[in-house]
Amino acid sequence: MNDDLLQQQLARLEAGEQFESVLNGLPAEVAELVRTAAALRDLPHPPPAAAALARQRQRLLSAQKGEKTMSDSSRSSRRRIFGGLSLAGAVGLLLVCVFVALGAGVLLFREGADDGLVKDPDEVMANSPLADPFASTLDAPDPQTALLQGSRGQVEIQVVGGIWESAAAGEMIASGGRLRTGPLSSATLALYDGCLVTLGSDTEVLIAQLDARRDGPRVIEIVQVSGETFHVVAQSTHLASVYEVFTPSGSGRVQGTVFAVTVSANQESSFSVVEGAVAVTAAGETVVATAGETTSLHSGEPPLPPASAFSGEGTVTQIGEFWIIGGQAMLVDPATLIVGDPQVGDWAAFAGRILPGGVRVADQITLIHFSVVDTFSFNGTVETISDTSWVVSGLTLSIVPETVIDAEIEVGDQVEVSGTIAEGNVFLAGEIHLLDETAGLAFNFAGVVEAIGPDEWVVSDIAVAITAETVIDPDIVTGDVVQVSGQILPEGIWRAEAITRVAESGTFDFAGVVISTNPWNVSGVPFGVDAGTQIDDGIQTGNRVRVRGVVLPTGEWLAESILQYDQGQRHAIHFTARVETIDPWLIGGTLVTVDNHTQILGEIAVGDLVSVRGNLLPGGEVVANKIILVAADSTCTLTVGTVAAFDGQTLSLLDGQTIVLPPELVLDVDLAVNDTIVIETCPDDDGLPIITGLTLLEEGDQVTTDTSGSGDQGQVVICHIPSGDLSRARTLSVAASAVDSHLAHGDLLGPCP
Amino acid sequence: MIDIVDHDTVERARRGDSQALGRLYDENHAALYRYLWARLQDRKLAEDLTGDVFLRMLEALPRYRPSDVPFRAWLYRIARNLLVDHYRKAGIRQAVPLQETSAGLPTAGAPEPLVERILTVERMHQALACLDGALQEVVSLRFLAGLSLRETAATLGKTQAAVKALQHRGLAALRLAFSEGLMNDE
Repeated sequence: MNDDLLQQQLARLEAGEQFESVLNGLPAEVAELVRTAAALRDLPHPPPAAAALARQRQRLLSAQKGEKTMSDSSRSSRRRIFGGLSLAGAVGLLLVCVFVALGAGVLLFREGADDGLVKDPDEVMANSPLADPFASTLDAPDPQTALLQGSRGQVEIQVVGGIWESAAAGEMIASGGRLRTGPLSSATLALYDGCLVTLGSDTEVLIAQLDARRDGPRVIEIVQVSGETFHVVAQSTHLASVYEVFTPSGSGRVQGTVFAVTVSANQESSFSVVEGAVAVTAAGETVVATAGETTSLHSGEPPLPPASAFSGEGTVTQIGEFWIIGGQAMLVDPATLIVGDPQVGDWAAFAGRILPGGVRVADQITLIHFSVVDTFSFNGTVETISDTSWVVSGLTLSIVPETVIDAEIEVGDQVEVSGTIAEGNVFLAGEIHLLDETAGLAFNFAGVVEAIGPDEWVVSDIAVAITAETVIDPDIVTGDVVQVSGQILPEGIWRAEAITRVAESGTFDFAGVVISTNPWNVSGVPFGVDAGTQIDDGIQTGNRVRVRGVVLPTGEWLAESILQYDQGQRHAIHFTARVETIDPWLIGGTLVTVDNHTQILGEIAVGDLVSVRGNLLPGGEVVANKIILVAADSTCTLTVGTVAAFDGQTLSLLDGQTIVLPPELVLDVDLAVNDTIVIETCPDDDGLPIITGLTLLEEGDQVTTDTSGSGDQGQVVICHIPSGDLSRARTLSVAASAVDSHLAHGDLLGPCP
Repeated sequence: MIDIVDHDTVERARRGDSQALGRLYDENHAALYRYLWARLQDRKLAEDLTGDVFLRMLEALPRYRPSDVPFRAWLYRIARNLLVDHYRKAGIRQAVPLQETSAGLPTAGAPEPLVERILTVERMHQALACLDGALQEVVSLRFLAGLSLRETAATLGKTQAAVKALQHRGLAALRLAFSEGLMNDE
C-alpha cells in the first residue's frame, strides 16, 4: 500500500464524494485508514463560548482600528503579551523589527558592507536565514515597561531585588531591571516609543531609567556593563528627550539614530554610528560621531576623535600585531575582540576604525570559515583496512592516531570520508563514518541549552528528543553550551544519542531534507550561507543534504558546506586544492580526469585554488564533473615589517631583512626608524619577484594630522595621485620636508575630496 | 471548508477594511479553534489562543505574501508557533478529563449508545494524544482543521510527499492505538 493511493481516496472524500462510494473496492487496509480519517473529521469537540467569540471578534476589529488591547492569553498570564498594537504602529514597528533582527550584530559586524552602512532591509530579509514571516512582533504595553521581543539562547532577567531568572520572548522589564545574555545568545528589547535595543552574546545591561513616552520628552538611560548592544532609536520631536547609554568608560547620548556600543573585557568601550549622530562624553569632554564613524573610550580619558569605520571579510593571510584579511592590513591591539581564533588561511570578518593618518585598527575579528584549502570528502566502499592506511574505493587514505573512525567498520562497508590533502599529496583521513541509511539522518551540532525536560530538550531553538539510551553529561544546566549528536528520524524528530558539555564554540553538522533554498532551511533548521559556502549544484527542495557550518556569536547558523547526502552508488568526491598542472590536470597531487562532460567554471591557471566535484571510479580514478575556480593564484604577497634603517634605497627591517628598493618605485612617504610598513611583492614578466608597492602603516612616533594641510608638528596632509590617476588618489600624511617633491609630481595639498 | 481563500479579502483586510477582517475571522475561527482544542484539550485555553492567533495575524498581515504560502497555511503556522510557545512555557500537557472530550456530544438519545459514543470519542482523543509530534500535527491539520495536503505541507514546511507519508503513518498509528485502547477496555 502506498501513500499516494491513500491520498487519492482522501482527496475523493474531501471533494464531497460519498463515503461508501470511496470505500467501494478498496483494499481492507486502505479502507480502514479512510474510515479513521472520516471518523477524525467528524470527531466532536466542545464548542467555544459564544460570548467569548463575540468579544474576540470585537477585540480583533478594535485592534485593527488602532485601539490598544491586550491579548486573550495575556489576561490569563500577565507576563505574556501577544500583539494588540495598532495596525499603523505595527507596520512601522515591523519595519524596524526586520531591520534590527537582521541588522544587529550581523550587518554591523559581519555582513561587512565596505561603507559600514546598513543594507536595504528587504534585500537582507530576502537572503537571510532569519527571514521568518512568523517571527515574534510584540510591543511594550506602556512607557515604563520594555518588552523582551525576541530571544535566542540563554537570556536572563533580574528585577530589582530579585535573582537572575531565565527569560523568554514576551516577558517584560522596568526601570532598575537587568538583562543579560550568555554565549551564542541574543535578545531584543522593544520600548513603548518604538526604540529597540538588541543585545549580542555575553552582554549585560541595566535599565537605569525608562520612560519611553511618545507624547512628551522621553528619558531612557541604559547602563551597559559588558558585551555589545545595537540601538535603533526612534526620532523624538521633544528637545528635552534623553536616550543615553552609559559604559564603564563614558556615555553616548542621541536624539534619533542607529548605533552600536561595545564594552570589552578590559572595560574599554566604543560607539559605532550607523545612522544619525551620537554625542559621546568621557572625562568631561564630548565628541560627536556621525554615520560611518566610531569612537573609542579608554577608562579615565576623553573619547578619541571619531574615526571612519571599516569592515569586511576575506581570507586571513597574516596574524600577529598586524593582521591582513582580504588584503586589508589592520592593527590588532589588546582591545580588539577576536572571536573563534582565526588562523592564516581561514575566512574571517573584521570591523574597525581608520585613525587619522590612515592606520586601520581592528575592533573585532570573527572567524567565519576554517580554511577550505586542501580538503576533501567523499563516500565510498572500504576495500582494505590496516593500522596506518585504508583503501576506500581505490583511494589510499593515510590513517593517523587522531583520525576519527566509527567503530565496527568492516571491509565492504559504505563510508563517508573527509580530511585534508597533506604535503606529498597524501590523503590524510580526518574522519571516517559508517553510512547507515536505515538509522535515519545523522546530526551533530553545538548550541546553548534553553530548556531541559524529561522527554525533550531545546538546544539553540532545536527541540531534541531524549530517550533512555541518550547519553548525557552530568550536571548540564540551562545556559550550558553543549554538543548534541543523534539521528533525525523519518517523522522529523531529532533524537539525541549524546549530549556533552563543550567549551564555548559553535559548530554544526547534520543531514536532512531541504525544505527551502532561499532562505535555506533543512529539516526545519534555518541557516545562512555566504560567498564562501560550498554548495553542491542542483540541490532542490526535497533533496537530502549534509550541512556543516559554524554557529556565529549571535547564535545564527552559517553553513560552510551543503553537500548532496546520498549520491547513490556513484561515489562522489569533492575536494579543494591548488592546480599543479593543466592537461593533464593535477590538482592537489591528484590526477583528475577531464572529459567532454566536465564543466570548467572560470579561467583557471596553474596555481589557482579550485574546487573539484566528480566521481570516484573503482581503482581510485577521479573523474571531474566540475572544476570551479575558488580563488585565482595570488602571487603577490604582502609583508609587514618595522624599519630599522633606511638610506633612501636600501631598507633594513627589524627582523633582519634587507631590501633594495627598485629605482622605479616612487615612495609616497618619508620612512623613518620604527615606522611600520607594508611591502607588496609581485612577480614580473619573467616570474621574478619585484617590489611593487610600499605603504606606511604606522609611524614609529605618534602621528599628528593637520587636515588644513599646514602641519604644526612636521606632518602635512596631502592628496597623493599616483601617475596622475585620480581614481587611485588617497590621503597621506607626510613630513613637511617632502611636500615639495610630492607637489612636483602632481599631488595636491590637503585631503583628497 | 474553503480551500482557496479569497485573496481580495486578505488584501482588503491588510489595507484596514474591517469588514474583510471580520470575514477572515468568521471563515476561519471555528476550524482554528477545533485544531487548537484538539492539540490543547482545554476549552478556555483554546478560546484564548484562537483570539491570539487572529491578533498575531493582524500584526503580520502587512508582511503576508500570497505568492509564498497559502493564506490558511500561513494562519496555521501562526497557530502552530503559538502552540509551540505554549508547550514550552507550560511543559507537558495535562491529562484529558472525560467531560472535556464529551462536551460537544448531543445529550439526547438512548443512554447506552450515548455512553458508548462518549467512550469512543474519548478513545479517539487519547489515541490522537498518543501520536508522536509530527504525526499528530499532520493528522490534526489534515483531518481536524481540514487543511489540504498542500496547505498542510506549507504550514509545516514539509514537502507534500513527506506529508503524504506522515498522514499515512499517522492514520495507521491512530488506528492501532485506537484498537489497542478498545482491547484494553475489554
